[in-house]
Amino acid sequence: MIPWTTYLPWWGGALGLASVAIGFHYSVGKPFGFSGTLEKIIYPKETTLAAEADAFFSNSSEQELTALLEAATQNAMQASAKALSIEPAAPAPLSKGHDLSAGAWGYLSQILFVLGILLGGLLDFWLSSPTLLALSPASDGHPLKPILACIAGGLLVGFGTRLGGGCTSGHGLFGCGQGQIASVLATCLFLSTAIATTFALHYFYPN
Amino acid sequence: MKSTQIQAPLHLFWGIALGLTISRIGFHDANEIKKMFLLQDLRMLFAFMGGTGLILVYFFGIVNRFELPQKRKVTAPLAIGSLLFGIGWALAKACPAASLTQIGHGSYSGAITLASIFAGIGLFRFLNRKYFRIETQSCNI
Repeated sequence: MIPWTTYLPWWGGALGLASVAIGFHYSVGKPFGFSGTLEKIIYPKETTLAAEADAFFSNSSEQELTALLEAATQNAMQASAKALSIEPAAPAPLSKGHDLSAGAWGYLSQILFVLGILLGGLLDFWLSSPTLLALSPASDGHPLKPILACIAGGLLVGFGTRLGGGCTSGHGLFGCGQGQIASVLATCLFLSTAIATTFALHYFYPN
Repeated sequence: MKSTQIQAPLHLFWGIALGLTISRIGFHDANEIKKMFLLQDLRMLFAFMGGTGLILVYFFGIVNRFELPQKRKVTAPLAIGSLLFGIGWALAKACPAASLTQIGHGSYSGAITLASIFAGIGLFRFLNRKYFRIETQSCNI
């Protein structure tokens, strides 16, 4: 029985993280990077387009794509064709594999992922202390005024993860897991910076 | 990649799994994060490293036939972004996924952190589109 009142030992945590990452990658077919997920949620149009394009390319065969490319090229060269008195070909219709709803499903997936994590936390809360969830003020352990720390920290996290191209899941779990040297470097950088910052905070605000 | 319709419930399932895992490890707990970053209790750090190690085994041992993505380049934005993220993580005591887990546990601070993260992302995108024009090497699939 997993004791629900104490945190997992390090190897339990390792197994847990690996199971989720591997399970996700194996069943969905791609890695996840949570800062990327958050970005996709606030830019729905872009996410929908990308998901649609991705589904379109995945679902179209080599021949369909070649035919489309040919037709597009011929269309673009219609003026030249006319000048040379060559009959331009009629443009090929989009392949019937074009899944217009793929974009919406792609966006919904991001929302569901975020919702899932929230539910996971909620579930853990209920399993740990079977009481109704009550909103509590800022969690303790902050050396600075909690609210300011959260705002400043959150801004830096949001800005930094997108500038750097990933967070603990994107760079840390998957980037390092795939052997990307850039991700290993990024992970070392953000971990060491976090440690250094915490030491500095602790020195100036020891509590 | 599997069809987008199948992906949706999978995302929900794995999201719940991730939230539970983060909670059981303690990545959402500000006190635990503080202990980790003060190098007083390396349990969570070892969990993170161990997890990454297992994932390495998966990618190189079992998933050889899967196409590994392009080599990511080490660039200045990568380094600077990671530095900023590290500072932010130390301040807010939560990384993006952890802040959501905190909200699931009923913490106000998690909500404030998450809102600030969204603002930070928006700020970066705005500045990047207008001024920086940096290629961040993360595709939007």
